[in-house]
Amino acid sequence: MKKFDIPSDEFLRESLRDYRMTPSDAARNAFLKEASGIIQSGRSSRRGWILPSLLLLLAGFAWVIWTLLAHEEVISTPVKQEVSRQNSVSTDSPPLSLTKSTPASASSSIKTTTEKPIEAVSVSPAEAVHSQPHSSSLTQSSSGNKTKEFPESSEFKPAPATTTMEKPIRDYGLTTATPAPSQSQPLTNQDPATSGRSEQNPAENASLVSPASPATSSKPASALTSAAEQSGQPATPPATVIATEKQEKKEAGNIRRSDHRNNNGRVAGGVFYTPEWLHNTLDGNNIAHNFGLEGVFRYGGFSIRTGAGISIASGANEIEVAYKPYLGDYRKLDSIQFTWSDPEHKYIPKMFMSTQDVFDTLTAYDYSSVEKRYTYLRIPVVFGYDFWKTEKISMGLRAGPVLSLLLSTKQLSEAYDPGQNRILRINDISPGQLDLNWQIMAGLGISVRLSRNLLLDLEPEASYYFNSAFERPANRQKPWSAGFRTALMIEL
Amino acid sequence: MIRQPDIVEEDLIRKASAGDNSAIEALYDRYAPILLSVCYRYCGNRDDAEDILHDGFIKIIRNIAKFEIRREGSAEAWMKRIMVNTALNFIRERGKWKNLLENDSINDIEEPADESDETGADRYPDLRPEEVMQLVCALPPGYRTVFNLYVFEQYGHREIANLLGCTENTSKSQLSKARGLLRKKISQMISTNTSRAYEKV
Repeated sequence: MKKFDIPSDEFLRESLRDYRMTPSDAARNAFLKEASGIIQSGRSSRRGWILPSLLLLLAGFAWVIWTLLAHEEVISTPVKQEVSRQNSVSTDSPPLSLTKSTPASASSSIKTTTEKPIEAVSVSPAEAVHSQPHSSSLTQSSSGNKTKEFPESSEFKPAPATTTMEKPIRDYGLTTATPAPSQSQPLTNQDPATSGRSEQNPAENASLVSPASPATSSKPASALTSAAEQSGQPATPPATVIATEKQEKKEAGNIRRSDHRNNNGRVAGGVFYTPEWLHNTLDGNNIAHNFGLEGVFRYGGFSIRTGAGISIASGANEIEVAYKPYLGDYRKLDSIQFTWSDPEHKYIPKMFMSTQDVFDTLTAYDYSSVEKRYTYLRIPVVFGYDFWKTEKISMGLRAGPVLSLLLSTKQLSEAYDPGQNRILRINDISPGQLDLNWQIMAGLGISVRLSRNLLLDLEPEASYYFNSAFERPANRQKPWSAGFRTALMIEL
Repeated sequence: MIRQPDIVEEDLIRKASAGDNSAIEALYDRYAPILLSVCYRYCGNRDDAEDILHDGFIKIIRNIAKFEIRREGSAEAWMKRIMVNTALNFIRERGKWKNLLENDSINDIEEPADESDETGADRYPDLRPEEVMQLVCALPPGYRTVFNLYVFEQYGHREIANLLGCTENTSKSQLSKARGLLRKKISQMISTNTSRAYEKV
C-alpha cells in the first residue's frame, strides 16, 4: 500500500470518503429489472442441463443395449455349433450320419438320396424324422436342374461327415427336428396339373416322386410324413422326438448360461440401498437415503451399471420474515352515546369501544427455518473395473456420473408462527431447489457371490456435487458425500 | 426467536447470491450511493455515472456467488474495484483513451516547484464534499483518471501505467498536472468564497 505523504491528497480523499449520491429512480428500477432477469436466466440455464443430461443417459443405455445384443450374436454361433456337435455324438449309427450327409452334398443325385435313407429309417423312427428336413431340403435344392446335370449312373461320393453334419443343421438352426410336412408334401402330392415344372418335364417329376421309386417303397421320413398327411392325419412327431427336442433345448440353454458365466458377458439385476452422508450443505450435514433398481453388464473385468432409484433427503430452508412488531393494544373509542338520567339528573355516557393492536412503524425481520423433504429420481451410470477376482469375491473400482432430478418437495415442519406480529412478507432465502443435480461418484466395489446366481454388492463410495440444492454459494464450497451401497444382484 | 433487523453485509451477500430479489434490492440501496459517487468521480457526468453504476452492479450480481467475505467491509472494497474497472472500460470505449492522455499532457499548467511544501488541510477553507467533487470532476479526463487512481484508489504509478497502457512517467506527469490544476482551482474557489463573504459582511 502506498503511503500518502501529501496533505492535499489526503484532504481530498477524506473529504470524499463518505460522499454519497443517490441514484435516480429510473436507474434503480432499470437495474432491478435487469437483475431479476439475470436471476431467472441463471435458473433457466441450470435447467438447460436437463437436455444434455438426458442425452448422455440415453447414450449410456443405448451403449449397454448395443453391447448386450452384439454379445448375444457372438455367443449364439458357438452354441449352435456345440448343439450340432452333440447331435452328431448322440447319433450312434454311422449309416444315419451318412444319410444326413447326402443332402448336403450338392453333387449327389436324387437317386443316391432316395437310396441311402433306407438305412437311416431302419435305425429309429425318431432319427428318421430328424432326417426328414434334410431329405426335404435335398428334394428342394436338388429339384430340376441337378437331375439333368448328374445322370443316375453317376457315382455317389459322400461328403465328409463333419462338413455334412454342420451344413444342414446350420441351415435349420436348433429346430432341425421339427417336422416339415409342407416341404415334403410336394414330393408325394405332386399334382402335374398345378406344377408347372411337372408339366414341362414329366420325366424329371417321375424321378422325383415316382410311387414306384425305391425311396417311397422304403418309406423314408418325408414319405412317412406325407403319407400321414395324405391320410388326413396331422403329422405329429413321436413322443421320443419331443423329449429329444426338449433335451436339446435344455442343453443349449445350459451351454449358453455357462458360456455367459465362463466367458465374459454377464448381466445382473437387483435392488440397492445407499445411505449417504452429505457435507458442505447449507444447513449442516444431511443424510440421504437412496434405493432402487439397478442392472449391471459385466464384460471381463469391466462393467457398466445403471438403473433408477429414489433419493430422499431432508433439509431446512431458511426464510426471512419481514414484519411489524406488535407493541401492545389499546381500547379505541368507537362512539359514545349520552343518555339522560333523571335520578342522577345528568347525562350518562355510554361508550362503545374496541381493542386495537399497535404495531411498530419500523419493519423488523425474523429468520426461521422450515423442514422440507426432497425426493429425487437418481440415475447412475457407473463404470467399473475389477482388479481382483476370485471365485467368491471380486473387487474393483467404480466411478461415473449420477444424475438427480427433483421429483417433489414436501414441507415437514409447521408453517411459521408470527405470533401477534403483522407479517409483511416472507422471503425464502435458502437457495432454490434445483431441478437437476449432477454428481460424480467413485467407490470401491466388492462383490460377494452368495450362491450360483446371487451376488451381494458392498460399495463404499464418495460423491462430489457439481451443483446442489444444499449448496452454500457464499463460501464456494461444493457439497460432497460419503455413502455405502448395498445391493443384492441376481445374474440373469 | 425474534431478532433485531440487523442485516449485516454477509447476510446480504449470501441472500443475494442465492437469488433473493429483496436482498439484491437491499444490496443496491445500501451500496449504490457510495458506488455512484465513485463512478461520478471518474466520468464527471451524472448520466454516464448511472450507466457505469448499472453495468457495474450487473457484474456484481453475476459474480456475487464467487465472492468470499473475509472481513467486514471487504464487500464494499470488492464492489468499488468492480466499479473502477467498469468506469475505466467506459472511459476507454467512449473517450479514446490514449488520445485523452496525449491531449492532456499539453504543458499548459504550471507545476509546483516542490509538492512537499504544502502545509496540509489547514490551508484549505472549509470546502464541502460537493465542492471537492466538483473540483475533481472538472479536471480533464486524463488528469482525472490518473488522479483518481492514485489518490483515491491508492494505486502506484506502475499499476496505473499497466492499467492505462501508458508509461510511468506519463502517469506521474498527469498526476502532477492534476494537482497543479486542482490547486489553482481551489485558490480560485477560495478567493471567490472570500469575496462573497466580504460582500455579505
